[in-house]
Amino acid sequence: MDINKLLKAFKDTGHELVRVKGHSKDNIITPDGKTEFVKPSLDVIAPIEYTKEFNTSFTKKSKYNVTMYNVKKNNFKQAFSSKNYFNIKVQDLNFKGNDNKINNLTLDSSSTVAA
Amino acid sequence: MEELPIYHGTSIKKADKIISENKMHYNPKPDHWLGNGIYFFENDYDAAKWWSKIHFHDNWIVLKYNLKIGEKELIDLDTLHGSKKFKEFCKKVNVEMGKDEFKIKISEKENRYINASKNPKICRQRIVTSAYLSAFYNLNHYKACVKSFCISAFNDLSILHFESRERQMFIIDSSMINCKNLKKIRNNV
Repeated sequence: MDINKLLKAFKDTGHELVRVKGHSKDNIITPDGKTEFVKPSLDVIAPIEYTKEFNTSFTKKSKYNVTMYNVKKNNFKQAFSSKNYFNIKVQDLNFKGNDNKINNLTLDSSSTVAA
Repeated sequence: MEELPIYHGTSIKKADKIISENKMHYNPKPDHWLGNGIYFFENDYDAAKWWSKIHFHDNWIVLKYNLKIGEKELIDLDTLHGSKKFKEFCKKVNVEMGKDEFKIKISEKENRYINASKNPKICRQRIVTSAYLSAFYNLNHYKACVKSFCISAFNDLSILHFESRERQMFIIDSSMINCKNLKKIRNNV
């Protein structure tokens, strides 16, 4: 299938396929939900739930125990603690009255160092 | 060319507006299960009545339409042929996307919508499914799609493995519906 034809089919219907550095074939979202992106995207990532403990200061030295929908805890941890992403800045942590959920976690793409 | 009876549940006020303006409106939502368009029930007056009574109570009404549609314009996702075709499309997309490192972009608006939903995980899943389906329709020039869904409210006999289902007719191309030919039905039997 021609990739340009595919891109157009999505774009014509109001959806966009974006190129993401560092994504591999295994990281793609599918309708059956069996695979998801593992590394955070360069724009906005999905809502996140944390499990036991959570450190809101995402720095190089922070320890994370976080899970993302359909993404294994270890993968998320790996993605955030990876040296390729150590410059990530986390903005707009919004708890909206639910201590178990971060509603909006935005990555500052300008400071992101992709793989 | 096939002719299929289809039913749309709505309110009396909205039905009158549709017929007088000769136009069917819909509220676009990113997580509509078959995409953004107009939803009918195929050959199932009772399903349309059940749906409209839930949403419009005493003001419910059903609009009937005889849809004329060509074989190649309709995708039936209940058939093995239809579901295989869609799955093949998804696989091809994933192969191409994987090869070139693409993903579906969830916009900030969609992200806010996900966050506000009761079940963000399902909501997000539906947005992705809807995006795949919309591109699939677009690529194949489909004008309508049918798929059945389980009605959990009527599945009190699940012990017998008998499932109540409703078959939804999703109209992608609204020009398929000539609103002047919609017939109002409010049968209490």
